[in-house]
Amino acid sequence: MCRFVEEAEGKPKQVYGVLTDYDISSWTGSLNSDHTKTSQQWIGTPLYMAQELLDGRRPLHLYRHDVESLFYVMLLVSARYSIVPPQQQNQPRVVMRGSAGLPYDDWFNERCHHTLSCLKSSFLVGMCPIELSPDFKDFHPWLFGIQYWFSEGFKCRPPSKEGVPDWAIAMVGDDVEPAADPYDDETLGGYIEYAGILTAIPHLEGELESLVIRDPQHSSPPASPISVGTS
Amino acid sequence: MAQGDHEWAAKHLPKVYYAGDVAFDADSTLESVAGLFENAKFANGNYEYERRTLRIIIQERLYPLKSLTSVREFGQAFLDILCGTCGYPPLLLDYHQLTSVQFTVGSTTTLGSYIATSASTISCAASSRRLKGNQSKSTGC
Repeated sequence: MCRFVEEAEGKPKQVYGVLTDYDISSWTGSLNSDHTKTSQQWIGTPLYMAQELLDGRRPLHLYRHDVESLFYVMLLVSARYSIVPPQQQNQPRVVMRGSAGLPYDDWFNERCHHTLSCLKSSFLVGMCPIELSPDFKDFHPWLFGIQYWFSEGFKCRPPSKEGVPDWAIAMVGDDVEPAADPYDDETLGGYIEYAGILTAIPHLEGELESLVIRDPQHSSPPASPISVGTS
Repeated sequence: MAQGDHEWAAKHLPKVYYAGDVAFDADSTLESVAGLFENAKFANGNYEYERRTLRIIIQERLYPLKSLTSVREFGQAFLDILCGTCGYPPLLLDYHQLTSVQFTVGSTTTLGSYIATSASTISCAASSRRLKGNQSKSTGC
């Protein structure tokens, strides 16, 4: 969600992104009597859940799971929506590109959490092509970079030996040199870290050139702030 | 509220006009249910009942991402969320703890007049945060 903040009187309002959780909330006027809306059920939103959490393999919720969820939000918005000139006052300028045949329709149509998890895992690790709406094409390098980090992070994760019979381990051999540093599962071996992810920002181009990193510890060079409705 | 190095993160949170918890009496349904679990025996081991808190938050209205009007605004919003997630986690709404009823109301509720003037959101959240005994915990505002 977002806030529109008037920094100073007479100045254009600034956009601030806000992370909150309204997946179980609804406008009272739009509730369905048959409780078919996702927001009327006490569940998460599988479409945006990290693939490890989706299939229940990992009960522990880590920082990188939030990054993965945000990646899916960015991907699906960029792939399935367009920005059009308003035809009437108050008409939304961001509209879905169509009702069928959109990228990632199979994710939306998948009812099985395990299968959806497999689809996402395959997409990340296998570096499946990122299909975006022409309007959001400038998001491609950003999304591609995050996809690459997840792909490399998962691929370099050492396999778990939990539950594997000793004879099976012995057959493979245990003569592999242990890594100098133990694998950090929370960051997928250091691939998914806050500072690292922000390194992409100065390299973005087009509409996304010179986005403002507002965290002063990682702030980007001074750039024009984003004002509401300046496009 | 955040100060110093984390002051920037406060702009990524909605203003909270009111927050408070509802304390349930000993004869309430909530306490009755909790009492059933005390010293109860379970066939498959122990079960620790986690008490819930009914929390009411009235906050500034936030707008959906579809309110944005350009690719650049989307990019900035996503970047802000990325920074807000990582830069100062304690400032985030405690969304991992909010597990049940949370809803936004329009202007037709019993608090409609207040909502209409403040354009706010009311959230009633039952937190799974464990409380000791009958202790009630305020979120502050």
